[in-house]
Amino acid sequence: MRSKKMLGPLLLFLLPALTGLFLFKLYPIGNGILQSLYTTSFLTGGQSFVGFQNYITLFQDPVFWNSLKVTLLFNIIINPLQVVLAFLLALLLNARIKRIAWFRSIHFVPVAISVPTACMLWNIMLSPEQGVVNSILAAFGLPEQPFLGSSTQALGSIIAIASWKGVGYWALFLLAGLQEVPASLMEASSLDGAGRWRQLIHIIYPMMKRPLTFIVVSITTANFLLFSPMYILTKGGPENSTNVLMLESFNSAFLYSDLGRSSAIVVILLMLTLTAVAVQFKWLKASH
Amino acid sequence: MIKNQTMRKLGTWLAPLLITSTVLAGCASGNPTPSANGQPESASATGKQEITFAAYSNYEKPLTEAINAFEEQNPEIKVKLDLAPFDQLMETIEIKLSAKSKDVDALFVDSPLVMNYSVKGYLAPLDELIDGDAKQKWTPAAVESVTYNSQLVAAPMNSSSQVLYYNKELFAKNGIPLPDENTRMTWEEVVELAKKLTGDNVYGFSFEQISKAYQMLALSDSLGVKMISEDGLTATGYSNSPEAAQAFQFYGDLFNQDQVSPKIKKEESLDYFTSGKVAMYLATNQNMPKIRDSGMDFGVTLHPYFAGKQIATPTGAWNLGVSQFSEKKEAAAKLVEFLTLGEGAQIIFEVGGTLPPQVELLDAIATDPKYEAFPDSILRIAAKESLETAVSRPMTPGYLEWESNMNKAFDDIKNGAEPQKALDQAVSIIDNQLKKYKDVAAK
Amino acid sequence: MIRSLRSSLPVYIIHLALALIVLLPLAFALVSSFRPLDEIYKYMSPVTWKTFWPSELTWEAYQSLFTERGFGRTLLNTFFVGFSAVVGGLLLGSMAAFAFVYFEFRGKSALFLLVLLTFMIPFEVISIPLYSLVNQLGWIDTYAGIIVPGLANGLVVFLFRQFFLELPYSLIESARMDGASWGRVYARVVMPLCKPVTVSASLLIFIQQWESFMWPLIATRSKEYKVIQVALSDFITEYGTYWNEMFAAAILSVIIPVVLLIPLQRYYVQGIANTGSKE
Repeated sequence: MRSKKMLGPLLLFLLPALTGLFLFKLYPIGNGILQSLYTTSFLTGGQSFVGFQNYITLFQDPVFWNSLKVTLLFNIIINPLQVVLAFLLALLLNARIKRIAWFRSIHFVPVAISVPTACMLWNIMLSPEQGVVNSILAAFGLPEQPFLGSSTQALGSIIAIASWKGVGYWALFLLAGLQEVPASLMEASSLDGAGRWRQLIHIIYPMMKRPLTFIVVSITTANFLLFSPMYILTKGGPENSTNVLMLESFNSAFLYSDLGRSSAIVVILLMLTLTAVAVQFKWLKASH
Repeated sequence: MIKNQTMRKLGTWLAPLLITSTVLAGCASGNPTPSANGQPESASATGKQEITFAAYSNYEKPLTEAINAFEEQNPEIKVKLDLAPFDQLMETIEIKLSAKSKDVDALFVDSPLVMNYSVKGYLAPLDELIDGDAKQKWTPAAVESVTYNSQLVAAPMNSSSQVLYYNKELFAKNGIPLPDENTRMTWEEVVELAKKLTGDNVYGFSFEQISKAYQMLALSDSLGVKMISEDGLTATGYSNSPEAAQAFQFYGDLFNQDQVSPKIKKEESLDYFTSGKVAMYLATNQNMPKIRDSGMDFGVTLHPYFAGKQIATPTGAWNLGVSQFSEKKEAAAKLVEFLTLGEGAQIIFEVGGTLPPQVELLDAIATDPKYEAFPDSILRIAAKESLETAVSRPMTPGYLEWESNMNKAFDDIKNGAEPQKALDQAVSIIDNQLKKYKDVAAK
Repeated sequence: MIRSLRSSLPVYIIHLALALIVLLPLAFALVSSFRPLDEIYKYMSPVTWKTFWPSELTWEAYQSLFTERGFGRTLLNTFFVGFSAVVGGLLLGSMAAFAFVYFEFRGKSALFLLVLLTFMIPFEVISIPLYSLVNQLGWIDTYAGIIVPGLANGLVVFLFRQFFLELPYSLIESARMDGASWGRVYARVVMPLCKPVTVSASLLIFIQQWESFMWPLIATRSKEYKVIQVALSDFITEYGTYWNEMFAAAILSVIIPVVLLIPLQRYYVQGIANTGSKE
């Protein structure tokens, strides 16, 4: 263990993945980040270096500040919500009852449906024109709601749709982790009268920390980057209430012919994500 | 953990590796090296030239037939169709052309994108590549939309126009006389009718392209509103003028005050009409086959206008261009010419059934007895409108910026926002985005 | 027996309620896929039992999918791409994670941070440079072009790493003492203990491939390489939407991964906990 022999195996194990990551991910990412320092000149068709001008322009743009606000609001709600729901669902799916495999498969169904199709389905379900959900509300004597057509409900509706599609998926990762909590431990504690809540906090949670770290980080990055439901369902409206940063970045690149602005937004988004993830790593490590 | 001092050497090992891979990647992004770029030119092997044609997947059938005819006439050229769905076509073209890819030779160009692609240097001028008197063979509106800096940069392939479809059964049920096919109603009359037809799970009227500029512009055009300044760089004072607000107030009222239109998305509108939930439906001529096949009893009349104001109908087209980065421009231009002027145009019209922009074909529609009888007569109405009342969209290199923000404003107005406020907000965002084009302002 | 049924009854009720919420929107898709196109919207509102029950059953949509649209080929492609991605991705990801957990080297944390970074950037941002690169490699319009760029996946490395950290180190140590090579430790000691996480990682990779859309669309131009999501988007056209075919394709796109998952489930209850090696 203390010879140069170690280098061989290390490279063998690490090199294939690293080559792929550097070539197909990090190189284009670096390229994208550099892009945020350039602007396209339409006269010459070339790129000209502008330093931090794209960022300065962004900071003076009220559209950017609104998108930042929407992005933060969206993530502050959806991330804890999905983590908690996924954890609860995983516990439920871990129950040792008959036919549990069927229930596990059911929660996998929304995962397999594509985002555009899911959006189309929910658009029909949530339609203000006698959609299924409104019909159910009406049946209970409740007033019908505009959902995606209202600036106060659109973001919430998208959170619900994204969670419908996402929670089952993330729960499966936790379920794999729960398999590692020895059944004897769980049964013993429930038998000796330890409350279910205490069992959760003191026995399951500490053992689930690493799978939890994984899904907390994955959920956070996925949601910071999420924009296709907004793109398909609301285009960022009504009244820009769902115009998240990623949608603004996408629009800048593909509608507004402004790659520099698009990349600058992504760099800011990356900073936000990294900050959130760093906090999560710390928090999940510290609380024993 | 396994601690090992020699492991520290890893850093020195990995560093060159990382550098190599980055450098490798760096090379790839720069000017293409001949070896890496070795797209097997089929020319060398078989004497054939292969060109790639980036097209919208919905046109697969007419294009395939037209391309077969083209390849028969030009055995030295092979055409590879690269199809993308409607919503992603623009995005794929943008990715490929901004990477200056030689992978695209001929491509679909939406009319309002002609200028944008031109300022970005994506399109090769066609003047020298195709027939000199081509311009006389297309309608003036079509030629105008494919000209930039007095150069022809694309060629119109097909066009569209709008007619007002109506459900005869719903009219009969309410005891309302049917509109006359050749009398143009005013918007005021349409709303009155719509109110009478609305009720019991039925809406009186719906647009096809709900909240989309393509159809909304007909409202402001009828009031004579100019949506953007002459140089194509300013929307403030144009798109939010009091007349514009008035036009879109009318739009908002359809949903909120009169409540004669359903608050749905454009993808659903056709289905609402064919399932009898909408009585009058303002939509493109191209929808006729689907409406006919649904088996409903329907009629058509002309596109409405505001009483005492101008008659203006929407138009829009698919055009074909040749990529500036293509290495086979001549072969690509040959294909474009075939599809927009030659036999291919005839095939696309016959197989695809879309409204042609070629004067010769339009004249044929006006005289061919095939288009006397309903419902084929709809194409004749559309042909007439496209020649006489069509108003093309605002000319600006930033049309996409203008359109996407205006569409959002239209949708907010549909959901009950105050029109003036929604438009004011949109124009301030648009003007901010148009600034970047000031060096290449519309001439 | 009765006692256990009584205690699990509330669990069943909760499960059934959740299943209803999850499946309700899909019930509509399922029913619509068996309807003629012009009937779909007829019964959508107001909601009655007819909304969820076809009055006239037809296989029209499914037939058209396989005959006119060549959906069979699309499915085969998607499977081929998906399985290649899973096999390659598992291997690369687990090996890299193994190195991150069991080897010490300088700059490990920084390198791991870079790995995390790779999945924090949206595809849209890297699409243009990535396209240039793959074009230079001559991989446009090949299977390699669709599959290879996605093989090394930071998220998979992260997932395996989290799991390897849980394994008792004594296992690896004793294997090394016995003179096992690192390759042997990886293949014979560590990986066999990792069935649940391997299943999770396979699902992750497969679903990412199953959902991938923009990249296959850009990286290929021939019909031979069409994958399912590209095919799905063909149903929404400039003039109207083929709802019945879209829903039929959506139903197929759901059923297949779910059917694949069911047999994999038994590995979920084969964790280390049950082998008794973890104390």
